[in-house]
Amino acid sequence: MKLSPLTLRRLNNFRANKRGYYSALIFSFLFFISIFAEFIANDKPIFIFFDKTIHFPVFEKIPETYFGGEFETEADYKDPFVKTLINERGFFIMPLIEYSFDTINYDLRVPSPSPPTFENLLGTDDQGRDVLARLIYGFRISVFFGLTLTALSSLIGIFAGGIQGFYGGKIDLFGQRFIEIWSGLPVLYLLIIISSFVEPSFWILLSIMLLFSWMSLEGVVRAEFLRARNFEYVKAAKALGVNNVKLMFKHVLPNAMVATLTLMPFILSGSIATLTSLDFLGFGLPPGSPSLGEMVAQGKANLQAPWLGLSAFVTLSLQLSLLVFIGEAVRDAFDPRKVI
Amino acid sequence: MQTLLEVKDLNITFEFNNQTVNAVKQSNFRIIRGECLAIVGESGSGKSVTALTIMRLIRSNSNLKISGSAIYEKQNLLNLDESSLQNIRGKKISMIFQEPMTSLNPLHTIEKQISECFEISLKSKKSKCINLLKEVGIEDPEKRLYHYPHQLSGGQRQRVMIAMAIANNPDLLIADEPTTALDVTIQKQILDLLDSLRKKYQMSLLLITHDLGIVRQIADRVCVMEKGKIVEQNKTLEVFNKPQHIYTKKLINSKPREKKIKNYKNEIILSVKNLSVFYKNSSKVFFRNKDDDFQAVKNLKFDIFKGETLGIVGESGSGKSSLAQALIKLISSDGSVFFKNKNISNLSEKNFRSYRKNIQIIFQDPFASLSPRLTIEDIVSEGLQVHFKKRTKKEMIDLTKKIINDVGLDFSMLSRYPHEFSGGQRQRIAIARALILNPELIILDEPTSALDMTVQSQIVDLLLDLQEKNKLTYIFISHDLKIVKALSDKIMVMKAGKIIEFDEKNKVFSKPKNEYTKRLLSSAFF
Repeated sequence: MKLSPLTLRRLNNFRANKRGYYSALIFSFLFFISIFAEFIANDKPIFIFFDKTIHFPVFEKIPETYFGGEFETEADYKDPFVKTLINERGFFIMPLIEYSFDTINYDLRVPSPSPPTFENLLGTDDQGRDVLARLIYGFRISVFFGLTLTALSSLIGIFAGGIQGFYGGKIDLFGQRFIEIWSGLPVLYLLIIISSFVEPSFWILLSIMLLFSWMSLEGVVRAEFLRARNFEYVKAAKALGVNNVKLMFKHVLPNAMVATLTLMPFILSGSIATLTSLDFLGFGLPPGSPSLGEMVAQGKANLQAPWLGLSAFVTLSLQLSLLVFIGEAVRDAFDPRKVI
Repeated sequence: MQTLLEVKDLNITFEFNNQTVNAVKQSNFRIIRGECLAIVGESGSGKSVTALTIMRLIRSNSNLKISGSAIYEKQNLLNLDESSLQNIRGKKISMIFQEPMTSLNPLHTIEKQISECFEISLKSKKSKCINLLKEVGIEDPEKRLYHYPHQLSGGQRQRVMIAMAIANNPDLLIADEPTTALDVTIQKQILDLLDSLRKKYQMSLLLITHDLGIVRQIADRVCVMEKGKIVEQNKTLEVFNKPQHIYTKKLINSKPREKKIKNYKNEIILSVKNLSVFYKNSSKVFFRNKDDDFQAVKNLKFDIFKGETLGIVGESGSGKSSLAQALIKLISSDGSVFFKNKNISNLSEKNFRSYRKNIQIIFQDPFASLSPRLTIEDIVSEGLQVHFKKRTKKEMIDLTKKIINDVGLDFSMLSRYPHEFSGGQRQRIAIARALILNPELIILDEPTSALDMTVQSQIVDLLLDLQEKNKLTYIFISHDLKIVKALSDKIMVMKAGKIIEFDEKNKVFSKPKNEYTKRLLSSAFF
């Protein structure tokens, strides 16, 4: 792939911001690891060699009877009886952390929430679930949520802003008035009302928030399009007979992209923070799902167990600061006057 | 002859992205009390940097090295401390800038801005301001004192700037392109004002400009700068009559060649009838009244014959550009336009698209008219992709290469981006983009005014060659009468949206009928 000199210059500018560059590296590393959360923190083995066949329980459900046990339900690999059954005719490898986000540790010596031990490195929460495992899964779900919401709301925002800015006039006027009214709707109340008659799943939450979050980019893109549609190269292309769709996407959009890309990391961290606060209030993801906000709420409810609040706080602040630092570096990268 | 300011061995180097640029190299010159010294050169030759350095408006830092000396009253301005500089800046040496729009603070009244320059009691402040405004020729100075900059025209703003600059009777006035942003008639008034003030107050004037016409008019001595070096320094008459250095000769002789006049009466290519352009009053969207709209072009009527060049001249705001954009339907208009006897003004955008390849436009600013994110090949071949979709990729590339060659560029440049080219090269690319569709009529909207003198005449030569070769018809819009004279067959003078004079070139230039045309011609130095 051949990079244009402009792109190269931007990459160099991005790298020149050391803090942002290393934040991006750390963030991508953490995100990459959390994608494989099932192989790092799980109550199922990564790999079983049993009866001369290989199994990956992460991908398949194996009933206990298969190993010679009693029940036809999926095998409980933490059960010492199942362990001995497998070890008789093969072996298995457990992940680094032997708990999934919803695995309850029944062998606690103290009532839950239990403090950190070698078994549960960051302790357990008030239902006896491993905090570290929940953090890993929670990190993944919040980043996924943020990324999807950012991508979708940018798509809608760029499209709506582009149309308003490019055509201007009445379309713009009515669009702006609609946005003024729409942005006046109280999002939080709407979420509370909706969550009282449907159980808010990941996608329902996402779509409700998408209804409102696209407006953050819309204004910027609209302004850029309004400005760029009068540029001479846009006029020149119009004089050549280029149609409106092509004008918008080939000539105007690349210019609006600078403003958009600069804002995007901040929208990403904003949507993560929103999801967390909803979870904290109890209007977020369904109960039992690993979420950072729910863990903050537990920390608040169990002040005698500081490992809950502290680990959630450290994870959240690390995640959000990394994103803000990356955002700053992106802004530098797109700054035409930035001199390295 | 008393030397007022002496600049010795001035060197200025910029450093960025690990590149060093010698903006000024070993410059030596002196300004004598009461004289007008002009520094001429093309953009990037280091004229403005020199002026800013004398005023110490730029200073050495890690990216900028200044060495040498500028001796004024036995002090070296280049290493004075800030407090002693305050006693010189604005009091002994003052400066006016190119753009009067941005050099006045929009939030303060004229009185406040002028009285900032001197420290005297409130009562006499006002009368001094009024005197100063009278001095620079502003009518009704008592009223003007309470006006804000946006209420003044460009020329009046420049007059206010001059009033501020001469408030403390300075010894030296530095004028950095003081008239570039102004219309020709106002240009002349401002230069006359500067000249009379200089004589009256016996101050020296350091004039920085790229316009040799201005230099010839008012300068006593000239320094010619090329790429940071002063290549020639002499009395104005000597420089113009006996230029020594090659570069000076090139500057002085860079007159575009003139088009040979033929008679083109055979075929009318474009006929305009009752064309009007309205700009909507944007404060009202509903219940709009046509009377509120601003009429930029008023009921124009003219014909253009195939092969000729129509030069449209007029000051800013006279409706030239609106007319150009209305002709190719970039803005909406009333009235009718006939292209080869076919009415094109009532066609829908879709039906008009097939006519677009016949009428093309080239814009003023070559930096703004090329998309920074497309390669030259994308830019030049874009029209082909719209109008000749059936051609194969190879044919398109071959045609693009041929056109690029025709406008005097090398086709190895095709994969590069616009920012890698100079202003003149960019304008050639813009011409190539218009030419590739093989148009019959090209509208040139101030195509040379953003370019340096020597480049200007190259572009004019290219346009003339292309016209001859491809039998093109031009509509050439400019405020630069010298270039209009070189290119056109007929001249149309516009003022406030109306045609004031429309005739053969020679008649307009030798025997102008209209009063306004006469004034326009007399104020242009060429």
